[in-house]
Amino acid sequence: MEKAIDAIVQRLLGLLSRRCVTALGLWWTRYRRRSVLNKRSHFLDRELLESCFRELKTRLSQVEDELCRVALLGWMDFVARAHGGELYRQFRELLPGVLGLRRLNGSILINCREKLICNEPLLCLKAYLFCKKRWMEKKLRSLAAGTPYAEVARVLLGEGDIPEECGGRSENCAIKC
Amino acid sequence: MQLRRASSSPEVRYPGGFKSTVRNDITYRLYKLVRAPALDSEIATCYEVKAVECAKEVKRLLYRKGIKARFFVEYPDVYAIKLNDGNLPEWFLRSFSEIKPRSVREVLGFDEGDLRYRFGGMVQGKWPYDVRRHKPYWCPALRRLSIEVYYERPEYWEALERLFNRHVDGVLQEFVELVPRSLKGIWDLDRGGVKLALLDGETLERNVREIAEIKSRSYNGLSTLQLVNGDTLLGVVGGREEVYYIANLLSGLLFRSGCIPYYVELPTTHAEYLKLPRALYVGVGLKKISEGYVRGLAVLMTGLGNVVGYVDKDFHIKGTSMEFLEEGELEEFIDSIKEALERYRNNAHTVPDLIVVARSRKFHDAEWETLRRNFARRWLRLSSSGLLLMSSYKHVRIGTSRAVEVGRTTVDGGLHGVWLVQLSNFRSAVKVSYFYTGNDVTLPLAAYIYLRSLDFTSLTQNRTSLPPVKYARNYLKWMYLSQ
Repeated sequence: MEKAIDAIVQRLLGLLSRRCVTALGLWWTRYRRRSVLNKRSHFLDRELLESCFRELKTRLSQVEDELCRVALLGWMDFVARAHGGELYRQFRELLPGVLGLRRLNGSILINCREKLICNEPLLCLKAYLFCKKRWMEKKLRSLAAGTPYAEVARVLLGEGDIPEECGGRSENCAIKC
Repeated sequence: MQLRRASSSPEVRYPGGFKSTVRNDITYRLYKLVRAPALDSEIATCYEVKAVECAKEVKRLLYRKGIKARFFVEYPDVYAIKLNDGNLPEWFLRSFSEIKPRSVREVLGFDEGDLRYRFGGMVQGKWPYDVRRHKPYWCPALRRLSIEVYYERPEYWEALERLFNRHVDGVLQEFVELVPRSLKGIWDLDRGGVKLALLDGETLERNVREIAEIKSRSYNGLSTLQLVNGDTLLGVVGGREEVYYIANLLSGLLFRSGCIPYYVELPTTHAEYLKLPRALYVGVGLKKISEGYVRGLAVLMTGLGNVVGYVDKDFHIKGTSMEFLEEGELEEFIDSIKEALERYRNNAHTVPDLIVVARSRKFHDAEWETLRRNFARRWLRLSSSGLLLMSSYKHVRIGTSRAVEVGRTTVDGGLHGVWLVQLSNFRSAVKVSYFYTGNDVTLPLAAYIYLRSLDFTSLTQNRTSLPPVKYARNYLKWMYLSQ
């Protein structure tokens, strides 16, 4: 009996550990998608989030396939949102360039209110990362199941992991309780 | 002005290290007649330079002066002048001004080489030929595809098996299974499912009527029977075109099985061009079946490249121009197309952003009026935001990767115009004549490049035909042969 109680207590303590809180924070940003954990992020293990972000950034520079890059950026987005502050600012600054949405003069190639963007699924995925519009979510959900775009759409909508074909989620980013 | 023949012959690299030398000869340049009377006293009667009669006179005069020219019926003041080594005479340059071609990339912001092909398993390829290396983009069922291969002689099957094992990657071999069957009689082919028939060249000729009947019966917008001349196949084995041959065959078979072998990614953020992936394409073919009668067939295709329906109808026609004799018949044909569109709309729960009607012969003003009245009215349930009618056929050589706008005019409800475009592997330019309800004159050009890339039955880079038109014409060919 004592052992069982001890196990429950340990489990509860474990849930209160920073790693668990971080996993919870990450889940929350994936679930909410558009929110940033600015004021509550000091409860999270920021180092853990930073190492995950750094690793994803390194992988991003090695991956050529645009769809895999979008999947990696989707995860970087969640991690940066969970971390908040400086990391999120850095990410937003980096985003249009790595998505190929910035013109030479620095202006942005797409108009976030242009519905035709989502006729092209790859562009729609990129635009969603950049614009985070609710109508784009509907379009992403309507992508034909079983296609590569639908798989990455699930990642951006917080429902899927980085696909195995893109290297999957690495150890540094496997933040679990 | 010094006229030069472009002498460079750039090498194009194909996957697998093969090389092909592309002909880059510019044979024709476009000129606009600006001052007819200054040309010569012989054509002093030619007051209206934009009239076909004037163009005929000018053409005759130029011919007498040793300059070979063609004019455009739609824009009779524009001439394609055949270039000979040397200068054009002074009097010519006083009367004509050149319409300079531009690179396709300059006009559209991309060209056909910038298209990317998305396969299954998150793979992006630069070539449709990658179809032999990756799983298809989408298939109706994820189970293994079984394709029956009927061979007339065992060596045909052996050759195919060799090519398949040599050039098709394991991931696809796991997905596609070729099941050999010895052909006992030609009617063996008249069975359900997707089949590949490896036939003797003689059998194909001798049994053409039976084969045509079987082929016609296998159609449901697209035939499920793929015919291959076994002797051609034997000739391919051991040659450098093995890879291309098997890629073409495989792509066609996947397509006939209901799969989309690859998705074509448009490399643009231009909103107008982004209508193309969600457009509905109607390819129209006409076949003269007897004196005064033609059969019309329309194949409906989505922006993904899959065929979603077809309709056919017999028409009365006048003369050789293949114009419809009775407008009521065209209306009936359109009504059938509208019904097919309605079915598609209900099944797919989507309204296309653009309807593109394509055929090889150019559209006439009256046809534009009728089609626009039926398809581009906003209050109609079927209405889309736009209608594009386009026809394309081979024309003169203007130089590779170039496009030139021959002319444009404002017509009732939209624009009419003509482009010449010669993609990097074309031997000659294609004339794209269009009517469009929108105001972007470059859209027909983008539509031509995009639509061309959706042909899963031929991956050859120099093909000029557009898939739904080709599918319609092929179907008509088999229908006609079987009767």
